[in-house]
Amino acid sequence: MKDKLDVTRDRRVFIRSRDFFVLFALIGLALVLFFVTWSTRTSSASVAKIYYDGQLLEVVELTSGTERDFLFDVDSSIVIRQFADQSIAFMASDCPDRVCIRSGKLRRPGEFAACVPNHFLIVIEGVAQFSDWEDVDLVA
Amino acid sequence: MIRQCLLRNIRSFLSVFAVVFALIFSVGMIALQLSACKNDVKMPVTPTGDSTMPDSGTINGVSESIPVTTAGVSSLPSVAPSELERFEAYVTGPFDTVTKMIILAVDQNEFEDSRFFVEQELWRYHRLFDIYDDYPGMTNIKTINDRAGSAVACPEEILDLIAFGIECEERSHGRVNIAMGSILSLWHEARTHSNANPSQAFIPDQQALEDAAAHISIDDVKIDREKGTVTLLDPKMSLDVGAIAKGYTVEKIARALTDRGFRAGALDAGGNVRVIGHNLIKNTPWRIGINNPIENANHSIIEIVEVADRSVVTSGNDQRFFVYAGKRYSHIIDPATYQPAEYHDSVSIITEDSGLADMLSTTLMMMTEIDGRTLLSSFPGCEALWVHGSEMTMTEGFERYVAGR
Repeated sequence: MKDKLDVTRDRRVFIRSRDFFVLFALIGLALVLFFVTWSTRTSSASVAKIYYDGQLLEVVELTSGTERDFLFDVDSSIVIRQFADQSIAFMASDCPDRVCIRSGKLRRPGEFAACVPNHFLIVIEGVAQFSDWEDVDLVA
Repeated sequence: MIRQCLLRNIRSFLSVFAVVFALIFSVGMIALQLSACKNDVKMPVTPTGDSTMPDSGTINGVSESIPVTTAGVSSLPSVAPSELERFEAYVTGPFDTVTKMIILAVDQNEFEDSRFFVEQELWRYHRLFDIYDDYPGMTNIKTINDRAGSAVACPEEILDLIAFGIECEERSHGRVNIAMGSILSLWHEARTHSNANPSQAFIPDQQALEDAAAHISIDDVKIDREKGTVTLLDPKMSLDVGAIAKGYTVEKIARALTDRGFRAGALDAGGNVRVIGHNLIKNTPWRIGINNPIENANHSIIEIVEVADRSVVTSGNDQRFFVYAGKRYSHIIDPATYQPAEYHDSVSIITEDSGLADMLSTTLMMMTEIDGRTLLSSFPGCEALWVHGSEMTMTEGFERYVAGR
């Protein structure tokens, strides 16, 4: 009689503890996968590729808080600076019009600037974390 | 008995539901990430051109090693948007700027074919319209300037560009004048010297400008179509096609691409944007940002327009200028005053033809907004946006292109 009552009580438990274990394990796995893919995506979000004469010279990961200057043996007049705010810009050049410097900071994937006389090109690549406001194909 | 059976089934159902929910949640999360990654798929970027840049008057081989497939290009079969991929490439050098191209293609070969064509054409037109360098075996604008006073046999492309330039002078009421090379060269010299040596900055002498202005009559530029020649009747005059050549070339290339069966894409030659078709992958118009000419502004873009088969061209004072005695001098020189234009920080034009847009954006930089609107009324289908300081105004037609309106 007692066994029968226990069985009945047991059957009244809708979800057993092992069901919760499976449930939480799967949700945990989902969250882990989510954060792994999310963090991987963020880390490759924005890189600046610096080309000279069509050849890739440098790939700069635009991480927050990092600030440094890039100098190049191929042209000592060119200075490119990576800024802490995840941007990059031409800082110095001996070209006639300084259009490269006046292009300002680049940070949005798809942005680019060139120092044509000195054959330098910076292209921002990566996954955009931008708002609709910045989501454009080209800038005129 | 029935109650127990029911309870057992409910428990089983909830267990199954929990597992299914967890699985759907997991798959959903992963799908969300994959979807985001797909939308932001890394685009093939091919910076090109520097190796083919004509330097010191020499012609370099133009990417002859790049494989080109032309078969079937003029009859590309239509494909589903999901089969298209977005490619991007850059050409650095032609028209002293960097040209970015966006090409929607089914594969790398199709992309390479269009990219190579654009690169070749940009360099070809650059050499033809160059006023600074000679190229062996080629007659270009510099040749015409060097032989001012005599007839020079020219390729058809040069005859067409100069004819377009003469038309521009008339339609812009003299604001865009390809015959004012003598004045522009004085300002060019001042700008390059002043940027290189800010402490020794200078502006052209007014008397020198007035002397040069005696040799800028467009009536002295004669085209003989039958003989295929151009003659500068004034031996002291020279042509400078900088105000129109880039936009004109972009338009020529866009039309040639269309003739080749190009699917869709966009060209951006230093702010001269020409889009071909619409974005087939997203089935939306192309989104073009309008550059903010104000230095160190919070936003680099002041407006976004959505266009298909249109040109969006901006002329501004924010990049090519020099500073003398604390004052900024723009590269856009008004033929009426021989001085830089000071009416606006930038003017953007939307219309179909990139050459026309290039001419109009320069023209409107040299007149008040009221005069600009009056002039625009004689150019159907052309819309404008003006930026002066923190203020921005636009025509009603331009407003219709603005995203979200």
